[in-house]
Amino acid sequence: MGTPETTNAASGELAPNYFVHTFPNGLRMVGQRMPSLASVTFGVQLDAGIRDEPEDRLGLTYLLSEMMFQGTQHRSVRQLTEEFEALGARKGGETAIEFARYSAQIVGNRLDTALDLFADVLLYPALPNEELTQMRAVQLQEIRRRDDEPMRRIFDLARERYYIGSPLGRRALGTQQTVEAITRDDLHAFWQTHYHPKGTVLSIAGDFDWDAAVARVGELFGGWSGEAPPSATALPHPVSSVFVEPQEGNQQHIAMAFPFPAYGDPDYYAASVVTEIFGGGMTSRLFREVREKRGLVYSVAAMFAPNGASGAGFLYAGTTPEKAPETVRVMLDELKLLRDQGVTEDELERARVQLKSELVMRGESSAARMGALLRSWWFEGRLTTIQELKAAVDNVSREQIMRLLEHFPLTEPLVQVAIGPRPADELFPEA
Amino acid sequence: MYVRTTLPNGLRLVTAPISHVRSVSIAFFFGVGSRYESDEIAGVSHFIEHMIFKGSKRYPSAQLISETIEGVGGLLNASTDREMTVFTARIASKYFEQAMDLLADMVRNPLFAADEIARERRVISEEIGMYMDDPGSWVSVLANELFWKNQPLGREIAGTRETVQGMSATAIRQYHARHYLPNNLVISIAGDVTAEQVEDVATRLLGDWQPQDVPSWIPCPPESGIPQVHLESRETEQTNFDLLLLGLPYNDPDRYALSLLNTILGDSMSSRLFLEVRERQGLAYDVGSAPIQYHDTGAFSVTAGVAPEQTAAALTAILREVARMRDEPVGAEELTRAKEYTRGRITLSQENTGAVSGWYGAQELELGEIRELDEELEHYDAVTREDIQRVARRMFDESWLRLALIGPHDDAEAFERLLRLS
Repeated sequence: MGTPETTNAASGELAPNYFVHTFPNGLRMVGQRMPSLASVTFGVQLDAGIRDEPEDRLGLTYLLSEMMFQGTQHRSVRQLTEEFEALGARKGGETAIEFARYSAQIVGNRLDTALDLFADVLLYPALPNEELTQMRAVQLQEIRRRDDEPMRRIFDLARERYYIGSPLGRRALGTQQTVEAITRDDLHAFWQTHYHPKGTVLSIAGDFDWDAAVARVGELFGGWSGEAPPSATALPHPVSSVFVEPQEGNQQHIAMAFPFPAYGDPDYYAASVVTEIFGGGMTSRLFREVREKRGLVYSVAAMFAPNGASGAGFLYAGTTPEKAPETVRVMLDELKLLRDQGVTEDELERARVQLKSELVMRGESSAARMGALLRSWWFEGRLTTIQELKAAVDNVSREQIMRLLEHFPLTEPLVQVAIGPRPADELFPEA
Repeated sequence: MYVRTTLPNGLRLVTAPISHVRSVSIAFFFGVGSRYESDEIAGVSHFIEHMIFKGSKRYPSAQLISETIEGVGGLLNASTDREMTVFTARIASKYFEQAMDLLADMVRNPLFAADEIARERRVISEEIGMYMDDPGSWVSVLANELFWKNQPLGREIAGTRETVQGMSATAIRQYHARHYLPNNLVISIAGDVTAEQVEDVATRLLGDWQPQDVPSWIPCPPESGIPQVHLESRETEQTNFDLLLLGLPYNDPDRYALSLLNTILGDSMSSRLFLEVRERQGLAYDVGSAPIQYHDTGAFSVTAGVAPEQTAAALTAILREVARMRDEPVGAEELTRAKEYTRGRITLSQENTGAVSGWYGAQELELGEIRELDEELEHYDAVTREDIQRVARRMFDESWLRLALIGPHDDAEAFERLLRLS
């Protein structure tokens, strides 16, 4: 347990309206006051992600995030649901590979009540057996739904093949078998082992009084204690591979994955810029070459999934089976062109402006800021202001991008997957 | 707060200044969509929406259009519905005029180049293929076809692959010329901007656009009768269904009661359907309801994705809850919670410039008038338990039941027998 401390602008370490506080039990609170808003969003992030699930209980964190809202030791499920509803809150639990997050957005004057409910949810969950039976059935339904949606499954497939041999590639929902095996004891044991204040971050953004919020959180969470065990970070060693899941349908879904920076990597911002140029908006190379020039697809995009341990870049395209080989060929050609020649000064400037403008526009929402604070504290141990982010984006140069592409040469290794009627040898003849 | 102005050519402007933001959301609402189309050109409204991004007189290529907006960090989007086609931009306020200049030229002077039309046919066919492969969205297409049988409101908005392949440049141009008119347009803007700025820019860019008679929509009265089922057999893991009942038109005085009814029945985590079908019986992962509202008619939709063997159980549970809304008044506390929930959601949405411009623009286009937030909330507060039951009685009658399913079943009649509301 450390000493309580608050840092804010007055102490000279943070920009105005940004705050950090550490409670004696290790719980960290970070915040940004946005006095012009009517709302507040807060989120609690715990070091208890999908990678921490027992091998034979995959899907546990997803089920737990639902079960946490199914009543507490003080409130029945019905009471709890109704109290949240009466707050007009947008709330939910979210499961990620590296963490769990519970968050809510409310109108500012409801903050105390909402924090009160969240403390009850996180510290005193009932995890009732009757509800477990239902929630388990619901999750099994969700697995079936996922299996009916190839656009969703294609990303699971790409991640699974890319992070092969590592828990980072797990599917959030688990499998029918592992979910059916989960008992109340499993959920309770996981909660008991991983839900602790030390290492947990509570982030808050919007219209609120920092000192009052700190006092309230102290009262509600002060009695909480303990520390989660460190997560096993078995780093992945992706290798080039191709895989096709046969399925009849009107579309062939194609995805590719390659190594890209993690959060905190010096090339992180260069990677964001490259992703924008390659497959961000309507000006991106993929959109233009695959959709605008050739009319091969409705959807095509590049995504950057940094993560804490190991990052990745993903590409997606959905096309007709007849056009699928051509689509793959164009995507590969574009990857190679980018790898060998980098980007132009025009493209770079446009992407900088786009990313900065996005930062400013997202900076107007309490939900986006709450998430951004969590992300920067969680992965970098500091609060990054919008100004700092803009400066970082401005500093990305073509040279830095060439260096990034030497470290991460896009096509090596490259994981290529597809769902649809065409077989692997027709889709990926080069592999 | 908003300011509403009409230019001499009939173009309506709605501005909602928001002082603490530095961005602006612009929305162009045209009163045109798939219900204005005859069968041969089904999907033309949606096709035009796509083509408008392909080049206009002063921005003659798709590349120039996207670079103009994305080069200054803006976002451009569009959507086509049955009664409206909407183009939106969100941008830093200093580029407001630039974005207006672009949008104005795009919608007013699109090129409709032949080679671009040919390419876009393929893109739209891909889009339709994507919907068809997603049973959760395709089942709603089937349900609407059943509810508005052989009527434009019942058609998939994008048309069919056949109509898209056959869409001629002439048909596209004529349709555009008839419907894209200043007096058929509402421009709604929210954010860091003043009403004077908006009026100046709009007058300069669009003030000389000549008005014409606006074609009216094709009336689509749904027909009641015996309950009907459309089953599409498909080897899916889940069965998806969409159950439609009668709804209310957009301007119905009972629309506030309808919205609260929907919240209580199927639009929140403490809604009856969510608790009964999902939480208590674990039958579905997602189950929910939504009102569908148009100028002259409406429907009420309940959708669910369930294990195939539990389809009948889920359907029965849903029908029981629907009948209960009609036969018993809702609880007083239940209604209070639904009002609080609505108040919270509406208040939170007012922080987002895009939501604000959408809220005002849609009201102006569909109702021809605008209600302020406070006034809307007063209307919600005034709704009584009796109002809700009265609305349920207007809508929830067995003769309106229309059910579409996609799943591994072959006996449509078995489902037809379940369609009872008692």
